[in-house]
Amino acid sequence: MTVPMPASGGAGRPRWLFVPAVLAVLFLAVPLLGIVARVPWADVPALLTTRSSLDALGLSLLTCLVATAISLALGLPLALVLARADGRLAGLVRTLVTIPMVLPPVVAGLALLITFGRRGVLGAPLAVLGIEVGFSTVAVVMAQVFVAMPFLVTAVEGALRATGTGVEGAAATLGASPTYTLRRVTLPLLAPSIAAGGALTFARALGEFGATITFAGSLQGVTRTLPLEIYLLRELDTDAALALALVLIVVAGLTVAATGWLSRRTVRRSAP
Amino acid sequence: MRAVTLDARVVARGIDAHLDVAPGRVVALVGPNGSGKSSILQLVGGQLRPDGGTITLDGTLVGGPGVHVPVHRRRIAVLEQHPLLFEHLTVLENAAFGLRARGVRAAEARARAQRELDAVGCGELAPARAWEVSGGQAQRIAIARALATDPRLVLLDEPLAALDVSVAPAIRSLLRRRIRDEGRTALLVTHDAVDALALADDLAVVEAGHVVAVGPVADLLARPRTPFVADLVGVNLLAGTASGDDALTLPTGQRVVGVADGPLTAGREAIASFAPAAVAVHTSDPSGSPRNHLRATVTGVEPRGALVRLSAELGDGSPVAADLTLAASVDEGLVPGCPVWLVVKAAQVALYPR
Repeated sequence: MTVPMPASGGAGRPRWLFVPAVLAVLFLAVPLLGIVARVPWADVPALLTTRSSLDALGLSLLTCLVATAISLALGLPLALVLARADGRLAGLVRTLVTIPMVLPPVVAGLALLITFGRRGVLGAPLAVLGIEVGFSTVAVVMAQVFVAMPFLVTAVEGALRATGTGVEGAAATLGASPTYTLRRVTLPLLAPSIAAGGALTFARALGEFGATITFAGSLQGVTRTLPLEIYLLRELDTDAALALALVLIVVAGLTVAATGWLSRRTVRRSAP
Repeated sequence: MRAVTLDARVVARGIDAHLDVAPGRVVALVGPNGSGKSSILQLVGGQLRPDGGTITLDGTLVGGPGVHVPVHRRRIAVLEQHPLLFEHLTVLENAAFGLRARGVRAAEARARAQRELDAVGCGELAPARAWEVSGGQAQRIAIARALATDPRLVLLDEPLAALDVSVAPAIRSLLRRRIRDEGRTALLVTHDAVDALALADDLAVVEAGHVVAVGPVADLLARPRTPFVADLVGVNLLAGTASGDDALTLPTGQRVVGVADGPLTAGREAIASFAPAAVAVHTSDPSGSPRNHLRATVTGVEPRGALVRLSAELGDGSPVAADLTLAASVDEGLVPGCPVWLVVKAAQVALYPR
């Protein structure tokens, strides 16, 4: 027997779509639930407070905060400039900014190593001056900024393009200089998008693995961030790896919830 | 001294316009879509840079060769279709924005902003968030916000176009009070003869990037000289050659007799205008009538409320509109393509030189 389906619109969907749809949800959810089920809950406090765990947690927190701050300081101006720019050069820059988002992180790490490593194009002159960035905490932050800043730029630029130039033009007619307009109109209106972009950037930096291990190595307390620690412990001490993984899952969940809430807030405000 | 002088060209938009505005005058810019009205406003406002020519405000050069005073230093106010309030601020902060941007102290700016809000009837909305107010209220607040800065010139770009018909009349009379009655200088772009009559002293007709006519609103609307203005006030306009004190000859050779308020010069270009309601339509030649009767072909019939608007074309393609009762249009069997005689009493035709 066939089930009659409405011919048009989103009013009705073929019921068989539910089979792959449910499979997709299960595939995404079951591994996460698997970790939650396997976490040795009673030992979590002890596992998270070992010397190496605390080192990894502290290093990740510090480097991700610094990377997010740098991404904001450099990426926000880039987004503001790009959103109001058209033409071939702007298109080229937009492509360049997007590449690190889709590039395999290990390639990103290699690129950084080739450039800033001891024998790199910029690394060699820096080494002469006594500055070595490779395999240091600075290298961790650089790797994180490289892969995470594009998330901030694209999120903020998209929001800025969607809001248009109307209110900024209105501010100018009222006598506001470009800097005053940026400070009192553009940035406040963008605040939810900046926060959402910042959260995404922080989350991406927190999960950074490939570029970090390639460019910064894995030195406890210096370059061994949470993901690196989890990778190291996955067979040596599975319980500790699971406890640390739980931290990353919770942070990821909070980030998704926060960005969702912020984007709903933006929609409500911009409604007429 | 002129409040505004504009003599500017924008090649990409086909603008080559000249316009002077005396202090305290409100000039309405009217013209077909795409004729360059808004571009002229943007040239004066500074959002658009001319390729050549000069623009002065109160005798100061603000645009010209090597000179471009940016928008925020022109001391103008702009009101558009959309109020463009700052939605992250309160209504009071919106109204105070321009003063704060110019460095006025917070307390002083807020006091002035409150007075401006009171003057537009939105005083009690001061603590509300800008996104909480209605469309009509938002436009009132935008007016308060614009006028709080004591602009030397107000630019209005169809400020009533986006408003509900139930709200527009109140905003129109508010603009009349706050702009025309207070003697401010303003440029107004509009598509509406009512706006032009209510808000403006002078009319500037813009066509294809040029200002083709300037004069007191009542004069230009009473004696339309271009098809666009005739359309704006809803009258028929036929151009021809004067052939006597009270008659003109159309390009089709037909004569139109009317009433001239001054003697016409035979052989000079002249215009006949009459209301669609003054036109009667016959399917046979009402010969012997002392009235004007013009041979035409029906091009369209469309209902307009209780009446029917009949569009017809003379032999040379000049359009003429007639308003008929529904019964008359049915009785006569008027359909597009139908040959007709349009009959107009001479007393209802105004004649004037082009």
